[in-house]
Amino acid sequence: MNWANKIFIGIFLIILCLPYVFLNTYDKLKLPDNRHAAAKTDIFQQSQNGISITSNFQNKYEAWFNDRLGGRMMALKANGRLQHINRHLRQGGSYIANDWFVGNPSRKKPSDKLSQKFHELKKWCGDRKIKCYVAITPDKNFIYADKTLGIIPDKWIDLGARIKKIADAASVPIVYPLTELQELRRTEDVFYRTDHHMTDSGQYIFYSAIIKMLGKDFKGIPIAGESDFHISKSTKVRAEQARRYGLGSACGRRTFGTKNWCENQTATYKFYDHKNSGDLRKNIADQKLVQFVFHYPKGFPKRVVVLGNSITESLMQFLPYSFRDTMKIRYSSIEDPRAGKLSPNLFENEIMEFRPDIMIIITDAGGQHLEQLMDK
Amino acid sequence: MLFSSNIFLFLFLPLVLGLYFLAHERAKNYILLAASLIFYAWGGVAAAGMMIVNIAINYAGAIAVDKWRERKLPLILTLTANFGMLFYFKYMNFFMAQIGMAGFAKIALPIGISFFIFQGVSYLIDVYRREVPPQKNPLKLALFISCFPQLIAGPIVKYHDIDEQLDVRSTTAADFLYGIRRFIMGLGKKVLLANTFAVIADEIFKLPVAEISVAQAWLGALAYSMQIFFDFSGYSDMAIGLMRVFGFRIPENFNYPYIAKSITDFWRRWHISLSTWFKEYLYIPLGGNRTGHTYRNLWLVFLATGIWHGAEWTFVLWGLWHGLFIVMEKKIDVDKFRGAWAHFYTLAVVLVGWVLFRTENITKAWQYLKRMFGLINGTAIFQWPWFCDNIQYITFAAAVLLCTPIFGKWIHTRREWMLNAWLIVVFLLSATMIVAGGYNPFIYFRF
Repeated sequence: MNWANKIFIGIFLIILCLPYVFLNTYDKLKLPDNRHAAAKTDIFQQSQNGISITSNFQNKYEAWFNDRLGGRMMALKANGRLQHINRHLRQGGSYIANDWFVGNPSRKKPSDKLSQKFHELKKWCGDRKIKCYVAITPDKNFIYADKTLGIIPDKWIDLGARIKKIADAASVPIVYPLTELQELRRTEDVFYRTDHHMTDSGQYIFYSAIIKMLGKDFKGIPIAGESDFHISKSTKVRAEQARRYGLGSACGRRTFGTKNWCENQTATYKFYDHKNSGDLRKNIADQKLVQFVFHYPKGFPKRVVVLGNSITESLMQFLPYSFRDTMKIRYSSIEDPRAGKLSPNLFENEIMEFRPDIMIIITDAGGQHLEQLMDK
Repeated sequence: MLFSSNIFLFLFLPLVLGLYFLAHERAKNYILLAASLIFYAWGGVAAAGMMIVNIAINYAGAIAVDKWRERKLPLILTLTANFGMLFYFKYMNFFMAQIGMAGFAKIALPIGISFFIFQGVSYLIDVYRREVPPQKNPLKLALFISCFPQLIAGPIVKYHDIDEQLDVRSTTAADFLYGIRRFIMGLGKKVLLANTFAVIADEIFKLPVAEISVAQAWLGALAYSMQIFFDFSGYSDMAIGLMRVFGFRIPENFNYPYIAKSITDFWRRWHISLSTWFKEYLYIPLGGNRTGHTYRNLWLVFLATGIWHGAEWTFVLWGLWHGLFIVMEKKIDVDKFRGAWAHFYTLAVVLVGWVLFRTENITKAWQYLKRMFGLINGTAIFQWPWFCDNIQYITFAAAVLLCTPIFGKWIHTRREWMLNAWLIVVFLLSATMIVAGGYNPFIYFRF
């Protein structure tokens, strides 16, 4: 046997043996994931009837062994580094931290064309006599930067703030309620812990910011106050499509990658349900495209089109109560060939058929969908 | 105990290796037997007790088959006991549900029961056919049936392949080297590839079919077909490798099945130990292709293959689905299947088969297949990156390469240190994933 093979066998045997050789035998070991290591269990236990085998001994022993394995910390760090590499390779989707479901972080700069796109949007709306607005939500990781345990470095650009600057320069009204949501975070969950969508509490702040922005041009748009809602608490997640199912789903994203996110989740969230929901008429304009038309007789007498992505689903718990007629178009409906393209050009037929006075474009800062704004 | 667990890799395996190679030659079998019983009992002491009873029955049964004048009687009795155990533990719940008694006491399925029962049956039939003498030493028979590397996920070793090695064998340095190389390759397949695909497949298959797009349905089926291949062949590699470390040479179980040119060819390459078991102990005794009932016999074999995998109608249908194409290929000359179309046809049939295999029931399977072919409408809830990111695309590319002999041939033509360095990297990555406690599903509990 040559030296290369001898070394190979030696390394293999060393890797096999080292974790046990360096087994951590402390009784009370505090682990980096904020829990105590599993307790040691003896194979035999004393009971009233004498000595017996500990029930489920194998699993208890394995838990003890896994927590104390020599090199465990090194392996966890190495695994974290692998995730780090993965983060650089990813283009979309969501990321996970050790115990936290992070949103859709992006560190891409807004493209140079974004300014031009905002100008085109302004012209498009002007030509059609529609007042247009843009509303963007921050990434979850910007609200919860401290929870991402280094997976999202601080130096990453706050893309939302950059977008807002560009829109302001192009005189396109835009709202980006980062500060308000960061403030809310002190007392409540802004995003669901197992999902990258906002809670009703977060959506309420977002909705209020949108109406305040519109109020500068349209005096008298009513903002639904908290007293206008039945506010209940639940451990369920009502985000995205789950909002349309009413009660929400048990946990949101159950697993992502390698982890079951529903384990040990005890968070409760506020649910907002409008007291006058009986007065709101809701028609499905197109089930496949997830388009809805709302009519609320007590609302402000203007027709509003909302062109948005999944964030918009929960926003519809609030916005239609401020206007007489609201239409929601989901530009990110996957069944639509236009999916993912945030462009009024592509949805012109639906928009013009509704004859809106106002159009609100809604997206998230990290989603990069504004890059397709005004695509044809 | 799973091969891809900390307790196996960092406690059980080094301990057994140390004891085995330090022990006297005559003690090696006993150390291996004791280790195998502990390995199995770790998953449930009652199941280990059941296995010991099964070993005792086969030991006594084979001696009776050898000694009695009416040799068929003890054979039938012992086979009945074996298949009775299999039926009770594996199929009773399903059977009771079919006759409207689903509330019947739930029977826990001992892991790997189908594998060790089939090994026991192979021993009995080999003795009956006088291919081998009965094993006089019950501990050696126990070792044959329970030997831990291949106990819970095969390959199914036939007694006549291994009987002499139970008495005399040795591990050379080359065997040891080959064994650990093979073990690491298997571990890498399981932990780095199969577990990655499991995440995608599990995510997609758990959603209602109306909530995934057509492309996502295909992605789910592809991911599962990769998962099951790398999971199963990874376990087989680990088993073959560990057996070689302990001086045993057992037959191969996989031979690049996804490059097969027909379903017949596929079954020469997929789970070879099971298909040859059925060929030797069912197809040929039924008359094979000599009695004019070839098609019936083939269908029966594939029906049995489906049932062997689990107590669900989906497995039955999966077996019949493959049987249908095997019969069809028998009718038309299978050698005419050539080129890309032959591969495409084979993969399409296999892929549809995996959907039947993966789904919980026939209704879900039918719905899923209809979604794959765009025959029912739906609205995808999650976008593509939700299921598959760039790391997984890279894993897909690596997996496709590893489904062919290209990489294997290439790496074996390199210098040995390169192969070793590559395997150390694979081992370190796999060990890191296992220690960090990643997603590690075990899909053989039903087998």
